[in-house]
Amino acid sequence: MITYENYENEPVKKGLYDKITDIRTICSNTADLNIMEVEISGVKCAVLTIEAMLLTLSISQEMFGYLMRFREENCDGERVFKFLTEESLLSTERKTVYNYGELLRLAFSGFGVVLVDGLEKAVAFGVQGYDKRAVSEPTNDINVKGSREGFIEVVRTNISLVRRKLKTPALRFEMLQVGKKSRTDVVIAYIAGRAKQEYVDEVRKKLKGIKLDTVLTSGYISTFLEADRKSIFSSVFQTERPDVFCAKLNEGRVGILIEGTPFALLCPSIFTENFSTIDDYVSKPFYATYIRILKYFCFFVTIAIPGIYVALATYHPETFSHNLLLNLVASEEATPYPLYVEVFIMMIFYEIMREAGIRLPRAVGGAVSIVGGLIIGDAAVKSGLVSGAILIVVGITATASFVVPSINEQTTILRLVFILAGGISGLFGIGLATAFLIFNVCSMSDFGVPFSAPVSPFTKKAFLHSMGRADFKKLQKETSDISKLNGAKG
Amino acid sequence: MKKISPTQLIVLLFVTRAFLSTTYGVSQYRLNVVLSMLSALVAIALQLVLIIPPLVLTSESDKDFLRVAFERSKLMGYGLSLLYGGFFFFETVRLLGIFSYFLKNQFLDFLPVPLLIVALSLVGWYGSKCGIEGLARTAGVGVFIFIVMFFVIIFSVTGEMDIYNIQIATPVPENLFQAFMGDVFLKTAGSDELVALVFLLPYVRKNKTKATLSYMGIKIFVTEIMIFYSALILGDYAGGLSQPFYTLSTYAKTSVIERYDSIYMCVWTIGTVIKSAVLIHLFTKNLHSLRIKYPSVFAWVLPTITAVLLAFFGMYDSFMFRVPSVICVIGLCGIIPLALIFTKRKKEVKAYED
Repeated sequence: MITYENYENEPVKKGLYDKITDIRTICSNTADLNIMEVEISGVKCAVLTIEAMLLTLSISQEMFGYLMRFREENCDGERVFKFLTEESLLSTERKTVYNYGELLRLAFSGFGVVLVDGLEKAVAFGVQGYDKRAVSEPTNDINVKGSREGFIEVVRTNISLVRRKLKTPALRFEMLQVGKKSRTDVVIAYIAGRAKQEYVDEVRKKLKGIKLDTVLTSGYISTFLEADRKSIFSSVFQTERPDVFCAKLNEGRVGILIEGTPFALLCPSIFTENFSTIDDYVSKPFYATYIRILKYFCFFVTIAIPGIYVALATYHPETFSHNLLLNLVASEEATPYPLYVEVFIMMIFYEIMREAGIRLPRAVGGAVSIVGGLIIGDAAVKSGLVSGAILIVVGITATASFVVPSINEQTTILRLVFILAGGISGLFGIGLATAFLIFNVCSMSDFGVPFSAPVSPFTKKAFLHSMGRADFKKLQKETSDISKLNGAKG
Repeated sequence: MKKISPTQLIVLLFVTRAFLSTTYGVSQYRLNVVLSMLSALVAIALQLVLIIPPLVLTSESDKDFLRVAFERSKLMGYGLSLLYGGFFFFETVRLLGIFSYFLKNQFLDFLPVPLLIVALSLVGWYGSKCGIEGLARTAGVGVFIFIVMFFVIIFSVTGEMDIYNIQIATPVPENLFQAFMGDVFLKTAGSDELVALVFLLPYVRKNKTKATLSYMGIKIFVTEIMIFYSALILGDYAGGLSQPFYTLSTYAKTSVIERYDSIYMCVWTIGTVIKSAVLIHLFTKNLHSLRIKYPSVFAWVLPTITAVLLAFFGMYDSFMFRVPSVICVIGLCGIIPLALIFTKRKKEVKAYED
């Protein structure tokens, strides 16, 4: 007996009612399944659609109207099928299916499937038209002077966004279905001749190896693409921007678009990529370079400054100049807890506020910032629970963390680790934490490209490009190639 | 075998001896600056001789050092695995002790030495699991920090330089030759990275000889600058210090930072952890060759427990710091690889005669 567990490879039956019964059995007559029986030139047929997954106007005007006008004497199923598949243009996408797995996958993707009596096959027409979000500005990768287009949740729309920017036949898309239950459409995108074939093969292999029931966000897939899952950082780059996606494809990376998420994945990826934005390529090189260096500095500030402050003020006060030291002593004298406890509590408090601000509706989120930042902060200093200097440190750290949002998860945890390390053993702890961080970053290597490139292994040109932005006149002479960062020339 | 570039080899070796270089005791034998600089040159010349056999050995075949030993005879393979493994184990324990006592005496008197040892070795063990490629990349980042630190020390004390501080006429020790050679051997004894070089050379992709010679060139350049600068700033006072270049870092100050020594300590910690990672990695490699099955945590636990026990019984001062390392360096870097070459040649000759 056919069920939802064993239908995948079952061939489509011959009789129309057998087909309809099988489909209804597999889907347990689910409420969103529509099967309309119709007679086309005397042959019994049925059209299978899924509720709200297709353009009603399109299907009724073009498909049904066209089918109903077809009249021939002594017509049989094969003739109707030939008409549907060879003599009509009902849609730009048409597929003949032979098993229930493919039939239902297409139906659930918004295709209209025509079943014909007496044939062990069916034909599906692409008439998708479900509700979707309009292409709009990305919420995370915000820029000032670049494009306002961002990926949306529909993978086919995302493909078109990429194609519009790269009108080359070398741009290739390969569609796979991932997720045993969700059968999510996942698209591998690459530019032939730019991306190494090994990268494409490796990505395809990894995607096919995913045995998850569902794939609902990019996070489900990125884990499987990473070589070192224990690392703090991810070697898979995420972006919401088609322009960034195209730029990275042109550098030889392989992109992955996933149905249901506006975040596209790119691999292989390197650490320094987190510090460049599309705006860098709009501004003048000197300013873009300055901003990029500022971002590196902000990364250092956001992970290390609270810890270093705790370490210096607690164990190495001789490092501070005399006047600064006196000021710090005066502000810290009245506070009841050890410095590192104060900073740790303030950082946790900041994280609570940030998380509340993100999850709450925007109108209320603003209020959280006011309550947290102004009222509680001010009260904490006045009551002597924390010193004013700590508020400055926490404030600078929090602000700096917004400068490199793509690695916010990592910096949040590392910051706490640095505070604890500095609080327990001063700059020795900071040194240990730094060594651990460097080990962690440097041990990562996906697709033969070290995550720490081009800093280590050092590649002069790429290093200069990662520190600053070269002029387009120089850039046009040689396109960056990710595969050249493997240190082979070092 | 995964490969590293010649530059990565130089950087890795440089970082592994950075702490020792920048806290180097050049004046145990009370030599004046010229003699001290000269002894550094002689020491480098001796080390150049020592590295010839490993270079010849790897130029003949790109095989791992232990594999070459096992190819000669199983007994030799096991014996050398034990010998080198023991050396790297010993050096790990010694490094953990040296740095922990340095920290305890100079900076962190509130922290017990065993705790420092455990923390250092734990991060070192984590690093050792990154493999040679990962370690070389880590050293690549570490070297940037060291270069910055080195130049900050140099430039922040430039105002204190006085050419009259260089007292060439410092009283010469009674037995000059013995003192001079003592200094040469002391400098060679501190070059335990040369033993690591024996194992690292097969990992290098190309230009092994050039890379090794470049490293030696950089090493002598940095050492000479440090000796010269220490004398130029500290004068005769440098002669009485066990760590004159470290003293410069306490001397250095700018309008923003009053004293730099604790910041340098942070950088030295990074260097020491990288070095301990390299040593633990090589120790583990030798253990593997012995075909002993053990949990991976063993590579961390064994040196750590040994170092903690030695610290607990106060044996670092009485034993660990007094072991004549120069014999180990000469034997393990020069003589044994030479013996391996010789054994091979003897076999080849015999095979030819047969």
